[in-house]
Amino acid sequence: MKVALVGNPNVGKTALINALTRGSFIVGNFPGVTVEKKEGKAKINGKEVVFVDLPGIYSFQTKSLDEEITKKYLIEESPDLVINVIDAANLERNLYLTLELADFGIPMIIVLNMIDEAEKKGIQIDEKKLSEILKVPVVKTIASKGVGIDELKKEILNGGLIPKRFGRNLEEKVKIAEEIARKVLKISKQKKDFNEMLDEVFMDKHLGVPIFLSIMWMMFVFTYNVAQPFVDALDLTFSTISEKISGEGWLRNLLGEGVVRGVGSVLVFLPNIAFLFLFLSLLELSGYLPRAVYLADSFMSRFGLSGRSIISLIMGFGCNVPAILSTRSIEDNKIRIATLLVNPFMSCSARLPIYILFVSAFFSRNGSVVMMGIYLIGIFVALISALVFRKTILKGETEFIIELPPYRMPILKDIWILTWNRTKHFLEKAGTIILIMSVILWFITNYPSSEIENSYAGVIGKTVQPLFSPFGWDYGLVLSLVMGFIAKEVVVETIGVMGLNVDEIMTPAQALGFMVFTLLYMPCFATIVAIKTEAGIKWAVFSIIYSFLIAYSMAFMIMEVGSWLV
Amino acid sequence: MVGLIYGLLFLILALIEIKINILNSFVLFTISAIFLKGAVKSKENYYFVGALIAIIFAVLSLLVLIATADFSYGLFGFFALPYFFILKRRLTAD
Repeated sequence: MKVALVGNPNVGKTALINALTRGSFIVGNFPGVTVEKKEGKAKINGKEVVFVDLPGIYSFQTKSLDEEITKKYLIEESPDLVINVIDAANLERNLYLTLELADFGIPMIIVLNMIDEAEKKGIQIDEKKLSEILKVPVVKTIASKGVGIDELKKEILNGGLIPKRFGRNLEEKVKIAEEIARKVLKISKQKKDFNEMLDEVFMDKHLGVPIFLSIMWMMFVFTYNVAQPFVDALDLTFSTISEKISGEGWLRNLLGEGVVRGVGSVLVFLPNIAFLFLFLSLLELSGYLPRAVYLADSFMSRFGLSGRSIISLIMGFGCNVPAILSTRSIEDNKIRIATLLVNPFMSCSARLPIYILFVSAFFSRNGSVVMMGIYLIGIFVALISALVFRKTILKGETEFIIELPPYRMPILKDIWILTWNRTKHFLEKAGTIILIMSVILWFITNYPSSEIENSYAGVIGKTVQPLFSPFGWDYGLVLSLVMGFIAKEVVVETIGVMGLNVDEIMTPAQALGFMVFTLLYMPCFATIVAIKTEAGIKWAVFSIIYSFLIAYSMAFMIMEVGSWLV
Repeated sequence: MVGLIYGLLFLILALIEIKINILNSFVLFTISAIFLKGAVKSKENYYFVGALIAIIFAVLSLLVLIATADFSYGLFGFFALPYFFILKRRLTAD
């Protein structure tokens, strides 16, 4: 049995599929977490049911890619049942999609999710009446707490019912949705809205920005300072293992100096990355993150971006690849292209090890300040670039709309799933691409001569070095930049395998320039492939050239300014 | 009145912290400003958010103290804990 979950963004579809399948799909607290259809299997009373989580949509009227995905799925795959997930606190708005879904003629069950939040707002829904009007079963749930899931399972086994069709066009459907909502909704005395009370402070025109900067500062202290003992412990472990294994013979040398040192040089930063993701997960799930974005509303629209682009930019702090895929929900193609082009400037987690390595070596006293500065430079360059694109090659009107989710106390399980899934991605890369690269790096640093200067690595580094002569970086560092094209973690890995002591071969100003360069220079291979897939080869090539030029000029500027200050 | 006292307390902490770490001091100034604006507007939701951020910062300061032995006056944010719970009960009550 194939069951599709359809609903508006941020109504808890993924939480519901997790509750039904005991799965661990990533749950967010902002619109657009699901950008591709995902499947989860479960056995209900011995019957195998495949649940398909489709991207959140408001209607089938616009031309965004996620609406296309949902529509195509419903028409071509014809599921046995559709579960229409509705945010109980926003019934009327959600009902419009329900009426459109009815036109597909597929058996349906309506789930009124997050019923607790609706009740907190004094909203009561007569589900029996709603069921009578629409001629489909209606179930009330709180997916995150597992409430109503057993009843829903029973209804799934019953197979749902084909809904009654209402209205022939957009206007009629909107009117009917209003009428139905009026008939089934009972709004008791208006309770004090806790969300509004919090919003008044978090989005206060004088305090909002200082609060945002304070939270950002806390995030970097947590990522850098609090994770430090774990980093030191891992560093010691890998150094000890590397020393024990290394010895005579190429195999021992490969394992000790190549694999363990190479992979270890990246894995030591695992605690920093896990701590960063933990903090970001808390911000996301609590509902604060979109507010932080909304704060920038007054000036953000001037950069020509839409509310949905901002969500994509925030996702870029984790990994640029899913962030680029998330631009599918942006309807305006020019805004979509602008968003995916500037996304690589948002500092992804793969770049964090580079900053920590250099910050520890040169700016240990003000490490968190420098790291925060690097992240802010990335945001600044992304926004300025967006403005330039929207005023020139991607000209057009901008409508800044962002949906603010409610504040929620993050649930431990969701925090764990979100943090673990993102950290797992880093570990998977360590076990695959970084492992392979460590062998390649070991080979090119040991052959044809064991002296690095005369090895293949030395030759490549020295060949490319003149391009970076204004920066005065060692050829080993230049090689690390070349290798970083594969994946940004490989920059640190190359430095590790080559045994470079960065504090001996460069000045603090050069280190600052190097960090800014790695922040901005061409996206990694996977990101370029994502840009090519989403926007075409022309924009992928443009992205490489543009980011390289920006990185070059910004790094030079920062290095010059840095040399006056440091 | 209580909010005003907290505002002044965090203002003093922010001033002392300047010499140790300017960005920690900035956070304490922000907390102080939230309480003081709450006092001016006589709104408890400002006190609630001020206390919330103060507690989060205190937890973080404690973690930093354990991890790196660096002291911050942000630790005194724990003083806002009882007030936070009182406000939470009051603001979320029907």
